[in-house]
Amino acid sequence: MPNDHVTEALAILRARDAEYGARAEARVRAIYGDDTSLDSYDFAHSSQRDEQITQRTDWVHQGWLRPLRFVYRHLPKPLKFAARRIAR
Amino acid sequence: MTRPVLIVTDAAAGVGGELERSARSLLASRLRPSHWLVPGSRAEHERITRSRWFRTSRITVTRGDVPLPDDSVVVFLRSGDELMPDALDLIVANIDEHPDVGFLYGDSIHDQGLRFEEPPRVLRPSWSPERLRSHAYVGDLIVSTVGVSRRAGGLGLLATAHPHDRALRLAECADSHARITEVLYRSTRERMMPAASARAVREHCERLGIAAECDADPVLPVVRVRRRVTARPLVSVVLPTRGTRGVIRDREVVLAANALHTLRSRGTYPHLEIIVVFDHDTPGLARDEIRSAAGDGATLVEFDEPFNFAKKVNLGVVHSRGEYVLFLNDDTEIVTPDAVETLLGLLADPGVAMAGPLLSYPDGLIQSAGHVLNPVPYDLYRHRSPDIAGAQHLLRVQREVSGVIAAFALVRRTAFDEVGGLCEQFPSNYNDVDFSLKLYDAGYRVLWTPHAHVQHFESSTRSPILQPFEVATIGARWRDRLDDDPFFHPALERYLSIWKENVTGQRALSDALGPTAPIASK
Repeated sequence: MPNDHVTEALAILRARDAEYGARAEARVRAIYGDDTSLDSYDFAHSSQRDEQITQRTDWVHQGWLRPLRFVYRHLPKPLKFAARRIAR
Repeated sequence: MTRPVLIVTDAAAGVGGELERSARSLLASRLRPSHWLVPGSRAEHERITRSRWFRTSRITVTRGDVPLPDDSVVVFLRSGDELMPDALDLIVANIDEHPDVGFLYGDSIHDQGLRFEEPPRVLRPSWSPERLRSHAYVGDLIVSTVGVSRRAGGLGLLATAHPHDRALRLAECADSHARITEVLYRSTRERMMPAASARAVREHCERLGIAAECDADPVLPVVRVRRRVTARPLVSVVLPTRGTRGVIRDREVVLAANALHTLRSRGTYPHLEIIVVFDHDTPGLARDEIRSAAGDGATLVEFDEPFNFAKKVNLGVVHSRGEYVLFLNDDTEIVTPDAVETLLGLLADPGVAMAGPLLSYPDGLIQSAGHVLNPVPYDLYRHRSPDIAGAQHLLRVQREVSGVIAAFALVRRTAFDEVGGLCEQFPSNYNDVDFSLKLYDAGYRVLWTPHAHVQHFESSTRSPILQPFEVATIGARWRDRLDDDPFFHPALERYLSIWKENVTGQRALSDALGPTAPIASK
């Protein structure tokens, strides 16, 4: 394929992409303002399989909470229900 | 003025006591329905419908046709299911806000939870027509209008139809479809998995003129729809590479040559055009091997710029002539011989622009069952066993997804051109996420299928490190979509690659993994 045609076809693709990108960016700005940063999002820094999170530990199952869970499990029922009511 | 609300329950489908459960839930509803149509009711049911509670409730109970205006709301409620007290409020508010919606569904809970656990909840993705052909993922409770129900065959027919048949008929006649991300009804644990009927799907395909074979899965209640691809359009295979060598099954190979060789020898699709975009520094020996694997008539395009996957793909596509483009990474290997035909079948639907297969690692674990944005882009069920069926059998059905990996994906060429190809601002990561979202912006859908299977030795040929500017660009363009993926659910746990409800306990995890059942087509 002649080089001119290739350059032209790539330029058309780039222009179409820019059009879609600009429309998407305008929509995002309309919702979030100028702060479109994803700093607060928890991105894995690599796409390699070992670095991807596949399952998180529920906060309640963290090791240091084990004694508290034990105590809660053995509370008398009225106290346990009261604790659950408060938690809700 | 409040719209009349008609509840339709097939009494004949229930057994003693079940109708009473539904009846009590209607009486407990905050917004009372105006009518309750109970076809097939017998004397034992009339004990309930003629009870004092009903006589004083202002709910008109009937067994025959109901003369109501076309915009009245119809709620199909299975005998035995209980409407949640605020469900009708939510439904009517939603239809008032979007009057063109003719098909509405929501979540459900099933029985009581175990001790200290929430009851099991089925969370449903947003409108997915291809998935509905595989099973009634929308559940048993469907909301429509009297007008749509009449066009779909009438209330009498719909009330007694199989849930899958009812859902398909209503979906065909509705102009717009929506979901409510709230629990609308309570059902039994046995009703947790979606029903499926191959006969209903066959009739649906006939009504819509879809030429397809519809086969029920022998193990799970799902239907596989294989569209017949009579024409053999030219598929342009675009493979970017730099001639990397790798070890596959204890043998050192040029990865690109291996990918092309397996595609041509194992794959059964005959009408392929191969375009290889290789880096300037690709070793001569590797070039020769690639040329030999690509066969006569292949186009080899040299790329003399710093690494940019998106740019290389675009360069390959502008050299292609095919009606369809197959993105092929050099670190892939086709497993199911008819993978290209399967993806072509999905693209026979003019609304679908891209389709991708099940990708797996060499050790057999799933690499991707489609993208999910929750809120960062993840591959669904990554690192999970392919033997699990997933929540609601989602790993066994072809369905709409927010995106698929560009390692092996078939794209409609016109759609590729329309959205400007892959964005060159993503040289390494997220170019496929961005491309899929652009396709949705252009009004197309992206599908994933478990019936085409490809192995992916991921990132064997490039750096896996995520660049901060790629994250910034994806945020600037698509932060709203990352926060609200229609094929995700707000009540699911975020930052997970599985469809797991955001609650603690083992039950949610086992529901997310679903039953263990091999893919029948393999």
